[in-house]
Amino acid sequence: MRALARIWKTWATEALRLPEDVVWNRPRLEWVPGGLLRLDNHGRIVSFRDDELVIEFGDARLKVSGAGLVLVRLSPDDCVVKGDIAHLSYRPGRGSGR
Amino acid sequence: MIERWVRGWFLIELMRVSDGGALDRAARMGAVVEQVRWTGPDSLMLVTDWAGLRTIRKVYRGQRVGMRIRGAGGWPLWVRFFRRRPLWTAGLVLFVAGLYLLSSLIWSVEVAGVERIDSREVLERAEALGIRPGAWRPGREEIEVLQGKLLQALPDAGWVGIHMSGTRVTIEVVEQIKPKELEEPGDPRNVVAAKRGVVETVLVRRGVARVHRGQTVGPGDILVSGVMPDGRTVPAEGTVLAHVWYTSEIAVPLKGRQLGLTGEKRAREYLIFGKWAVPIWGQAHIPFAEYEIREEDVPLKAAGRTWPVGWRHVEYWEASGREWTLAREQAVERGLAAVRSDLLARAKPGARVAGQKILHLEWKNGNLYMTVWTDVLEDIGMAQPVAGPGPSPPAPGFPD
Repeated sequence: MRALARIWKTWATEALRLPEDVVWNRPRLEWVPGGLLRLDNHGRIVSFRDDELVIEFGDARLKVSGAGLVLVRLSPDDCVVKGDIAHLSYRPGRGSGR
Repeated sequence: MIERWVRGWFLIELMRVSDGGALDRAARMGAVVEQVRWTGPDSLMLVTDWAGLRTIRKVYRGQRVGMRIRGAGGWPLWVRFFRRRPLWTAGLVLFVAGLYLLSSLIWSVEVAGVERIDSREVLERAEALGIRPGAWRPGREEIEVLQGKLLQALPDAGWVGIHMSGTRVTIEVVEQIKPKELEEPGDPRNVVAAKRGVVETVLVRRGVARVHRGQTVGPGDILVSGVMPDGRTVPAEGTVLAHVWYTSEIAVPLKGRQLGLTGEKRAREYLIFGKWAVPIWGQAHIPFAEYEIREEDVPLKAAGRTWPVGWRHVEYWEASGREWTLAREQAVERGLAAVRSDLLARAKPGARVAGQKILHLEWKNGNLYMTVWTDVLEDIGMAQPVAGPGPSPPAPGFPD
């Protein structure tokens, strides 16, 4: 399972051009089998719609696009998203890249 | 799932919501929000707990957002349910307690299996021991003790069983079957030899002696006749001591290990479900190298029956082993003593050992194997009814 997560993280870093820091440390994305995306230590949820979830941490923004998105769990520590996730996009902030 | 049930849960629908981002604020204030999904263009459905419900209310206060509870469940709701209905709850508790209490009492006592013994006598004896309508149902171990006491209280009973069937107690009595009384003084009888031996002394209390000192007798030989010289038959009585020889084989181990309890113990408690036992309390590791286990099961008794659920108390008593070794002389003496006590236990009271000889002795595999010849001086007489009047009275005196 860990190896699978590592493969996904590597792919997310290279294919989605997400900064390594975002994938590995903040908010530490984790791919859970079954169409789940887990974000530990997530930032502020700016908006949540059926087809889009925008999370802001610092100046940077992470956008999860897809269809039928469901927040399986939302707590101060983690945020688990489920649904037909089609795309992840990242806009770095000023200076720090987050 | 269990955690959710313990915390309690609410299925909430939020209406006239433009964005779900505000839920993040509730999460940051400590609310745990689950299964957040859009059910319409401006309505959200989510699951949260009691604290989360209050936090979400606080977050959306002052806005046009409507909130509707679509479902709820879990332990806190049950607590709330009972707290809002104190009389109802008290009634329920009293009903369950009353049911349990009434099913823990004896409602009727029956006696089965008696013919000669009066069943009223059995009931009186049982009542004296606490088995009566209105008394508490005895436990399984208590029943065994009561059976023994009731058996002692009923001299004509050979066996007494106490069966619990719900709130009904059945006392089953098996009466003693007494053999035809040979001991009655009126029945004519002889005293005959029960085993082979050489007569040493003859003491006649009633009847005519038919053997003399030094005479060898076999099983069934008449020792004291109940037929008198004048033809009358009497119940013969007498003691005939004879030398009876036994050959015994015995093995005595030269080394052994004896376990003794030190008094230290540990206990564990289990919940039992049928044949499964789930540990609930007590040390997982027993710190004794050797120990003896004592178990006690307390099954749940309710509604007049015993359920396959209960409590098991297990005690682990520390045991310490002690090695012992016997010298060869000690082993021989122990073997001879064992043979003596065994033979005397099987003989009539008053028997004594007149002599012992070792016929064969062998040391093998750490054991002593012996063949012992023992001369026991014992009463070999046994009563036997006289078949009928004898054809002719026997001659007095000692036959050859």
